[in-house]
Amino acid sequence: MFDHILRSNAARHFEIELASHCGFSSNNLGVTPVSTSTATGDDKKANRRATEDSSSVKRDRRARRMRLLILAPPLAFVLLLFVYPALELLWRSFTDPESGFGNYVRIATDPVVSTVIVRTVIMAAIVTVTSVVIAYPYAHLMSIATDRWRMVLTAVVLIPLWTSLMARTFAWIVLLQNDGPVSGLFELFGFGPVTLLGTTPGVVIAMAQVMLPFVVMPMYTNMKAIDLRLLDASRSLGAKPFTVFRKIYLPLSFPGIASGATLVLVLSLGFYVTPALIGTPQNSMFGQYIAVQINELVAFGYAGALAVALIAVTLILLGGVRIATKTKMSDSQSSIGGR
Amino acid sequence: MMRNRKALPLAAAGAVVAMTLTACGGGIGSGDSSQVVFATTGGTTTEALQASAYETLAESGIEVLEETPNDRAKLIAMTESENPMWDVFHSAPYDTIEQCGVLYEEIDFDRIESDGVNLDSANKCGVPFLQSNFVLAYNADTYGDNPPTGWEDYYDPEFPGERGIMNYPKDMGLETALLGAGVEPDDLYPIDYDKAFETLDGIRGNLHFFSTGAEQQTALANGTVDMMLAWPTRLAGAQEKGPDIEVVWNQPIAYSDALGIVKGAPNQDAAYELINAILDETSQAALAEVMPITPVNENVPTSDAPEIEEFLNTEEKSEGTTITRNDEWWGENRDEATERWTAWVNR
Repeated sequence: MFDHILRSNAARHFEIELASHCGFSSNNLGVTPVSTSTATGDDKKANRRATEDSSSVKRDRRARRMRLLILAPPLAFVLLLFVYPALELLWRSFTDPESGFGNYVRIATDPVVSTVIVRTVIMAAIVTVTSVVIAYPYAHLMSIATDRWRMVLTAVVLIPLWTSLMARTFAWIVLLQNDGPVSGLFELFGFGPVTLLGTTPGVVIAMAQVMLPFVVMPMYTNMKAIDLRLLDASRSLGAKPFTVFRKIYLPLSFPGIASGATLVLVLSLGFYVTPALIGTPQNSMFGQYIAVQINELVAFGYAGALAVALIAVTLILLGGVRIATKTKMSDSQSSIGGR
Repeated sequence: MMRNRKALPLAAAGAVVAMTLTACGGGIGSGDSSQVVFATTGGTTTEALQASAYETLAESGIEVLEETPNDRAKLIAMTESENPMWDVFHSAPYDTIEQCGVLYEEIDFDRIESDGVNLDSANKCGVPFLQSNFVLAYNADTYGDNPPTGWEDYYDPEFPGERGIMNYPKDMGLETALLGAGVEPDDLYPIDYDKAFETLDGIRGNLHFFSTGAEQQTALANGTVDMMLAWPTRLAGAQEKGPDIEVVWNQPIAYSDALGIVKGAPNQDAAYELINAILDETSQAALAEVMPITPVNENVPTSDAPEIEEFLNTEEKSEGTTITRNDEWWGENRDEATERWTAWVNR
């Protein structure tokens, strides 16, 4: 019962939201997509009726007007508060302080930019791998747990998501202190007292925690749909447990990994709050460099160009991931289903 | 029709709410001199002024609306759009010098009640309202009998200890590095970047960068750093948490904070009232009581409370070694210095 609700509503909804964010269709994830547009169907029906009855033409027109009316506020909202500022940013990157490509030339020749971009990409990659490695067994556990445990496990992942990012980041500052509990944990395992606050490992730990729900949920949705009888079948044909995992479960769970990893990668590339508060200026990420341009140098044009550069880097990486996962996915499909 | 009748009052209510909200945020174009919007830092300075200057103004019927933090990027965006919502901006002299007539109105000094007020460090667009010093502070519990004695020790790679520094060049990282390298105080400006960064390179491995006073205070208090190029206003707070914090009274660097009137500010009359209220004895005494600052109003004595006095620069302590930040240079070179600093930090 609970499982049904969770899967059909919460998880799938989440999944679709994620999928639309990162360009993965929910089909990849083994979930039937929820039909989001009934408009075309309605129109056809209405058109057919319209030939029979002129009053329904009026009704149809009214309905269309109604739709526009309903659509107008959110559309205006997006245009005014997102599209306009984004265009303004783009415009300024070509006009401020003087018109031309000056800002972009500066990006190409500024050694700090390349250092920070490389650092940001590496950082995002580390966070992505860390999150996936932590989330994978967790999502698997969620997919095979009893209803009650699943509820607990889901809550543990999602409750932090509902907590303010600032509050969580400040909590991490406390946890990562020199004599804090995380350092104590390392000590318990004989690694001696470690400095985490202001270091890359510290930022990775905190960021991975923030990112966890974004990778656990897609993986869970995917794993839940895996037919576990396939595992029994392969075992009964003599496959060893590791072979079963490597040849059957891992390929089948790959779409979930790809979806979660992509989302975390994209979010990490533009992350600001956590690295700014937990990291140091020496290991600052791209968002922090943009913040310096805005807050201290008030170079809106250059900051805009940097933001465009960040989007370009993100798109390039996404394209790369997309190509890689496509090959991988068709590989795994042909190896399992023989298609 | 019915629907429209309902919608109209709703829209009107919405507009009223929106107007109220924006009014709270800064009174757009109200021009009403019964209020003044003060963009300031928050923290101890602001609390002291709330209990003094704000009260003075309230008595004459002017309400002070406060905006924190005093975000300079916001100020620029506001003045660029020629629709500023702020009146008085808590600034630094180098900024009021550099941006005079752009971000700030020229001050009519005839309207400043300067009785007893030291306006030596005033400029055309800026009125100084508190004076303090960047200092070398250290944890006396850690160093015991071998404390640092000057910037030479702070910048000496052989000298033990983790160092704290603010991640803003304007907070004297460059000047102190040059002093550490043996440059004479008179030869500090124009800043020799190469020499400064070379000196900073030496201690890079032991440097911790901070961006807020709170971080600075915590790091000194919990022993993350052993010595710090510090804001004196945060030292008492660090000491309260346990460690014995001492200051090396050798070459502290004096600076002042300034008040500027925002270019095109809607409540300029009230802005002068606020500035005068902050310069008067009540407010200056309130500031001096809670922070190690030298009041600009010379009728007000510095604090003799031990926890304040300990971190206050006096002639007896610094014996003529005090250096004054060159606000003219910083006005002209702030952006370049920030770019070079950011590049060095990120290297």
